[in-house]
Amino acid sequence: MNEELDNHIHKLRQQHKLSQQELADAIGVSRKTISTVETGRFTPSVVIALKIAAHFNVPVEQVFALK
Amino acid sequence: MEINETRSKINETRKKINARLGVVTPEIEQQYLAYTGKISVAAAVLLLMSVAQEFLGDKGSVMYWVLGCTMLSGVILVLLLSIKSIKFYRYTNRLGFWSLKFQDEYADYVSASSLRITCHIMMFGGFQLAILGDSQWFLEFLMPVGLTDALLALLGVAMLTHGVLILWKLREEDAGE
Repeated sequence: MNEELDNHIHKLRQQHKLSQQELADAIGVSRKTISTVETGRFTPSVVIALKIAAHFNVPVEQVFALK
Repeated sequence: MEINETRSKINETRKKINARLGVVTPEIEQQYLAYTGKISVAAAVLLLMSVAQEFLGDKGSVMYWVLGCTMLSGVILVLLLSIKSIKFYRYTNRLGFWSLKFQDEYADYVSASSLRITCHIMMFGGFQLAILGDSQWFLEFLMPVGLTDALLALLGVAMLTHGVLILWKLREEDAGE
């Protein structure tokens, strides 16, 4: 678990009615990448963070935030 | 609802096209990484059992035969996994086939972190064996096995660590869909 980073991917997915697989396919990563980022077990690169934010059409700060 | 169905159909079609064109998808990279983990574990069991057999010495004992059967299972498993992994050969040029470097970030993170720990084990163990290898007391300490068996045991531990770490990090969990 990342002690410093919080994310709102699960909430955003639910709002957009997206599964992890669909989000993963949309940004070109594996479902495992999404699930581990979501649960805080893996910290993604800036590129993935920006791709997720762009997919939900929100600033990256609305997806990831420091605790 | 319709949007989701359309999206799923588009993704399914995309997957079929990718498979036909031989595109390396993140899923293929993770499958390949999982195979390398399984092969590492099977090969490690093989090596460790062979050292254990050498250590045991008594060829007539039940334990010797149990270890022999485990070794045979390891050989069969390595062969089966190798045959099954033939499906990845078509991606050899693009997949991190030898380098174990992957495009998918999580696969690459799992691969790199398990290789890092394996490298530390090999360096530390290899250094010890290189320093102590010629000492008479060390060779006596290793008896009844020799320096080669000690090296095989080190290789076995390193491969076991590599495989177990990969399989552990790629394990299926409640994904919170």
